[in-house]
Amino acid sequence: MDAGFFAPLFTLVAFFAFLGICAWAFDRNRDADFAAAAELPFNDPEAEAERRRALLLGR
Amino acid sequence: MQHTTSYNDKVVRQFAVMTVIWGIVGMLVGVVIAAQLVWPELNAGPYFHFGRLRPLHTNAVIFAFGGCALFATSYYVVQRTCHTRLWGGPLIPFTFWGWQAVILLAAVTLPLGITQGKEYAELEWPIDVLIALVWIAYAVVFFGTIARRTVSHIYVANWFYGAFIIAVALLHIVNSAAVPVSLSKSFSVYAGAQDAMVQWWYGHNAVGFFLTAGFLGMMYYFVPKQAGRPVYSYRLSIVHFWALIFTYMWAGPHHLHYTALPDWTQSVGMVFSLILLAPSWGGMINGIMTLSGAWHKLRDDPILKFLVTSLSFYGMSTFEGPMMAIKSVNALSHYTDWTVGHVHSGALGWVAMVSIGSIYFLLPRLFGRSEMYAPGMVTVHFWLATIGTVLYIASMWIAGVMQGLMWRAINADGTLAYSFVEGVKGSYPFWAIRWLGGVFFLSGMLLMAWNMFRTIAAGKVAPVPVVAAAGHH
Repeated sequence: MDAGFFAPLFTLVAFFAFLGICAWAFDRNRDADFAAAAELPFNDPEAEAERRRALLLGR
Repeated sequence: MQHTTSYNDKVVRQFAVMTVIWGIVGMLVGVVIAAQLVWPELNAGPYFHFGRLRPLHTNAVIFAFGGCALFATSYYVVQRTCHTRLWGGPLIPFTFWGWQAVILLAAVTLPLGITQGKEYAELEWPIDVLIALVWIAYAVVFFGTIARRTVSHIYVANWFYGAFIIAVALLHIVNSAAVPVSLSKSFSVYAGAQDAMVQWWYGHNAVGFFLTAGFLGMMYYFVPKQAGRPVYSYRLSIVHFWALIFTYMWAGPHHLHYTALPDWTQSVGMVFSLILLAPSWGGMINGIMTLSGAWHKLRDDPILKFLVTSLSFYGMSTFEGPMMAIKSVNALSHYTDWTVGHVHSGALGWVAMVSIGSIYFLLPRLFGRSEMYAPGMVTVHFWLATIGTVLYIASMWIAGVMQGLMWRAINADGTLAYSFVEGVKGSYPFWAIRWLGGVFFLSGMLLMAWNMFRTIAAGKVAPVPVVAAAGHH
């Protein structure tokens, strides 16, 4: 067994790992987790101040 | 919410300011070398000849301008999305001063002709060692901060930044492996076709991870922030990330079509380049669709204009790239100005515009103001940048296709229909338009610098408290 054996094997493992990640990402049970994760950039004191300012300016 | 300590924004401010300054320097050199092609008498040899200034331009815009933008935004984003102060103590200022030292050493050595002759990796071994040290410190600071996060989830922008940091370390160390023979000269440990393959494995993935993954990290934070709504599809961002990671590393051989590289390797590079279209467009669509329901903001928000236009250019250049990787198309495009146009579609349209938009987002926040000193000038900058980019890439497309067609044209007896110099002569009008496009883009950067310094002068630096997480998962 040499690199010629392991290289295609590694490629196959990588391919199936990618398919596994896709299946994980598209699992509907994670909807709430992903929705919460997407809000992370808005969960800081500056964002709160910006939201207040936007409301005042009517944007 | 419980306030405990403040974010480390000093290093973010330093890198943000240097982004603008190095942007002007790098683009000024670009305008000079564009002028040298139109007016060859401007080549003042040997130190300011095109051959020595061209690598100075590429290093300055990629690693000085782009690099500072990536440092600034990654340090800002990782703190805000991990709800923790930047970790790393003295390593943090070391990354700033070390990176500036690298840039200054490049600015001195490249005009002196001290170079390894590898594109985008020209710097000689002592500078390469310094780059490796700075980069390892950067990785320690970034991942150390992630390790100390007070939220369990690692926001997707940090995944892109993290991949960019790891991949660039790997690429730089492997491709720069050399045997020094003096302080200013070394020879690559690789030889022949293997050297070429390693170089373009590095070169293409420098595009993939330095100029794409890092800036996608920027996009995934600053587009939602400026649009005021979360990313369109978080699960698509995850698939986007992993699809890029799994495919980018394979595409490098498309830089070596019709060379001594084995033919099957070239074909693998071509196929993976075509596959790359899917994740690239997935990411582009995800970014643009984040504006769903907020399209009206594009009318009067110049920062959003920069960010969304950058995504449009990202979509264009990531469509064009795979097409140019097809061997029959590459037979026409390779070695012509079409490639230069393609590169600048990505460099000016995508990398520079997303950086400029993000830095405009950051500057008022970093210097205690609600907006830039002259918000109207941001709109003027946007149009200067857009017109400059379009002039640049359209002229290079036309020049490139013309050159490719002239070089391959043959007479009935099999002789070349055109001499090389006829192609050069035909390119002159387009090179002049390209220079004009560069002047437009540079003018916008000068306007940005003026606006930045007035914002700093009118602003007041205040520490921003770190927010404790509210049990986020």
